Amino acid sequence: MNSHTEQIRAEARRLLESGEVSVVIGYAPGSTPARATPVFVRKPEDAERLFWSPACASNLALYVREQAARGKVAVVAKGCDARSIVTLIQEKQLRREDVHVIGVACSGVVDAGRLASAGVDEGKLKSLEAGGGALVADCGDGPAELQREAVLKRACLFCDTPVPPLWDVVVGEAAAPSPARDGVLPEDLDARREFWAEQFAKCVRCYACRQVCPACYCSECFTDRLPVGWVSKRIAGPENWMYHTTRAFHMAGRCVGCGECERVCPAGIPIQTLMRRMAEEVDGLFGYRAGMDPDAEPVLATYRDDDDGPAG
Amino acid sequence: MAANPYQPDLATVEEIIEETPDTRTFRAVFRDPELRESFTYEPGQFQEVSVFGVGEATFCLTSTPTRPGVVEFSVKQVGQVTTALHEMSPGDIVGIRGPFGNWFPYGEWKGKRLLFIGGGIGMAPLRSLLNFCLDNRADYGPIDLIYGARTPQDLCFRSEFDDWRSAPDTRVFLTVDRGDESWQGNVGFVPAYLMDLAPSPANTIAITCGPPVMIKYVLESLEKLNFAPEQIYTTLEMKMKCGIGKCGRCNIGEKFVCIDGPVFSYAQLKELPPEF
Amino acid sequence: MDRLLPKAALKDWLEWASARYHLLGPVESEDGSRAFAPLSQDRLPVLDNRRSCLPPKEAVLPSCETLFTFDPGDGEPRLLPAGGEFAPTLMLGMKPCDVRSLEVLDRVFLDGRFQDPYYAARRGSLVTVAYVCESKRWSCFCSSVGDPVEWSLAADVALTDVGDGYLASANTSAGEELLGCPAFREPSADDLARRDVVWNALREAAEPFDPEAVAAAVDWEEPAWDAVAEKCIGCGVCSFLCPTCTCFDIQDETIGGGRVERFRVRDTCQFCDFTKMGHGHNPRPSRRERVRQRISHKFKYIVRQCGICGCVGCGRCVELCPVNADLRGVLSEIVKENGCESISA
Repeated sequence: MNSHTEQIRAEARRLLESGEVSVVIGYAPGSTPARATPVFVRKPEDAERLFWSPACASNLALYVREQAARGKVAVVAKGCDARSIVTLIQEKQLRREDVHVIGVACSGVVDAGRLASAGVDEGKLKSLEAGGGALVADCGDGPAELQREAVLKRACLFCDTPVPPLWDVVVGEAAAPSPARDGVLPEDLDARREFWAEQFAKCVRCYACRQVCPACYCSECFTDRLPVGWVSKRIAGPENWMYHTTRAFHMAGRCVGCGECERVCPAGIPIQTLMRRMAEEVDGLFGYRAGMDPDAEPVLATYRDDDDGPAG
Repeated sequence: MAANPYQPDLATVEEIIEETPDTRTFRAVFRDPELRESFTYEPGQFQEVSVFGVGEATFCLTSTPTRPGVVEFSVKQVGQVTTALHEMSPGDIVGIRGPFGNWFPYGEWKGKRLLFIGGGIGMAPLRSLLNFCLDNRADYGPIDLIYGARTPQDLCFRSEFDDWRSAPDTRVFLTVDRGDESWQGNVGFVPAYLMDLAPSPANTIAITCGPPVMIKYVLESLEKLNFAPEQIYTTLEMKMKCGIGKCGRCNIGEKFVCIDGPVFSYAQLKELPPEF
Repeated sequence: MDRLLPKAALKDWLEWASARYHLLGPVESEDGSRAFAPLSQDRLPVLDNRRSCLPPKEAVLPSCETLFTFDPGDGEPRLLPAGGEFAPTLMLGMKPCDVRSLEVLDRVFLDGRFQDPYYAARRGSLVTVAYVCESKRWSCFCSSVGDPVEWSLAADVALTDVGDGYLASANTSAGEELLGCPAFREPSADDLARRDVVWNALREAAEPFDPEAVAAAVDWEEPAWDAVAEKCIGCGVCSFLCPTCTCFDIQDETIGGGRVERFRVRDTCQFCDFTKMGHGHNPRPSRRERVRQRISHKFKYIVRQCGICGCVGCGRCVELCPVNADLRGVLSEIVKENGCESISA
């Protein structure tokens, strides 16, 4: 058992024994060593169910808002997950004192859906560990290093916040980030339009991207407001386009780049590429990055006298 | 009915009767003259009524098949389609699919005493059966109707009360939750009035429909009055789309309300999971 | 009827078949996954054990289709049927679970008081060729839910890889016609023996369970409902990617000139407004009720309504669930709690 797991369990036990929190939201081992599943621990003896590995891909901030309504919660959070919590605090969906962040310094998590293409037989996987910045997997023939670019959640390759910006305790140390550039998007605008048309045509409107996003917490999404009819329920290119681009605008200045939307998409749409473009635009216009400072005001919900309008 | 059960038949709205501030009864006539003559259904069945461009909604047939040529359905304004219907005028076009669902097993009730217990717009499906039985009066024993609404203005089908009262061996007991200066009848909730009237269960079938809370207390009251679950019938509603058991939406446990219902006996209801 | 198709002759058979059928088969997508797509001499199928991401239900029940168009006319309103000619189609390379899923869909859409004419038209023009898997993925549990070999034999033709060729078993007259192509030859005793090896391996399951026993075990109240609902995010991945989930919504859309198109579109009981009524009442107001509905429907209600287990053990939901809720584990908990045999996980 790695020391991250030990520390998380110890912290969870301490918090539950003292009654400081009513639930610890963390990860439990999933169906294979490449997967983890969210777990809600309410009794100190159940802290044994918690663990940490590079399989811990989910953004658990998703559950914090609802659970915190019933009492203080603790949550295991990577850098991106903690940024989501910051966003929730900024948007007054959560009070700082209602969440105890068990931060984890992270070097990237695995997207199990990418393993097959990387030549890893998930069915034979015996273990998956991270050590010294390397990802090591054992498929029965002994440990072998995996190529990070091939198996990590794509968003992790662009990460520049391996250490949570908000924490009550933090576990582990992460290597200095060296975010890559997203080379997916064509430069030419016409080619770019064709690129997105092709991608959105694949969408099945399962809304996994929306449901998995901690920032998508509207009680009634614009897609469900049928009397108004912002976008019809039809599953077809134009409507899919409308859904994705509208959501991207709703996420501008709020998306923290955790990449869950892209990981869970069953159609393989590079949603993070779109979100990252929006984030770049917002940063360029307003010098603002989502989820870094709980005291900062949400950028697109705030008017300042020195807002010049479009960057000249 | 069309060979394609998803495709409606076109009908013209002939008349719209304002029953209450939020409820209107629509009388519609199929545009196809052959269908107008041949269309038939059973009391208790429902239709999917289309307002093209807005959508479809489920309405029980409130007319009786013994008076063919016109189909009637009553609409309470609660959502999109019902609002669109309320904005219609005579001469407007609707689509009608149906009849769908099962129906009141009136064939098993010959010679029996019938006790109708209705609340608000729940009277609509009961009216279909009531008029059907009155049109076949000799087939049934004494008929009693207990019908209530929030206020006298919320009672539907007021123009027919006298017809019902004057039918042989047929009594009408009205009640309202809140009366007004001119109200002469009983004041009180339907379940309480039912207990006051204390009908005997002997050779009787009770049929009830109304708001869920009313049905709940009526069923309890009927049991207290020693009605067996097999003697009590109601009609349920769930959100529906296809109306023909394909879209998977209206099930309660393993029963589809559009195929195995909407008419259920209380005995059958007791077997269903409590999800309605 | 059994015949052998040498692997090198697959192209020839497809060319011969293309004169009679529009061909669909699994091709490799950019990201390495499989998708059913039109085949041609430039686009041959990939016959292997990887399942397609989108299940074959798309071919008989498209995710979005027009039901009819309303035309107000000039005082003479009428409805224009959706039309569409459904050319005879051959779907090649369906896994045993894929083939079985069509059986489930047939019961839902063709049986009962009403037949779904849109489904019937597409299904009626479809001929199926199964490809029997040599091995299962870690997430597959077909042999826990039924007999995948028997499922393959419900296809018009079932192909098994026996080394240099595919052993083709025809199970219907349309299948026998397909094997009339000169590319086929008589199988040898060795070919048949190798096929049996593959078939026996496929049938193996650690702990087979009786779908009727699971149907009896699933209760209205189960701790599993709360346990799953807590982490379920309420998306449509499990339903939309499930080969046997078919719930749909019907909507109207104005398309200009007063005309209205009525279409139907995939929906899922997992969405929060699936059962929400016009006046606001929702009999399934929280995740708990909706999780219960999906699992009960798949393993209990369909068994009672149609006499067939709704799940084909394809494993898509297991691999694609964003939170790894793992249906197999949930079912194990339910049956163990009720004292039945557990399923392999």
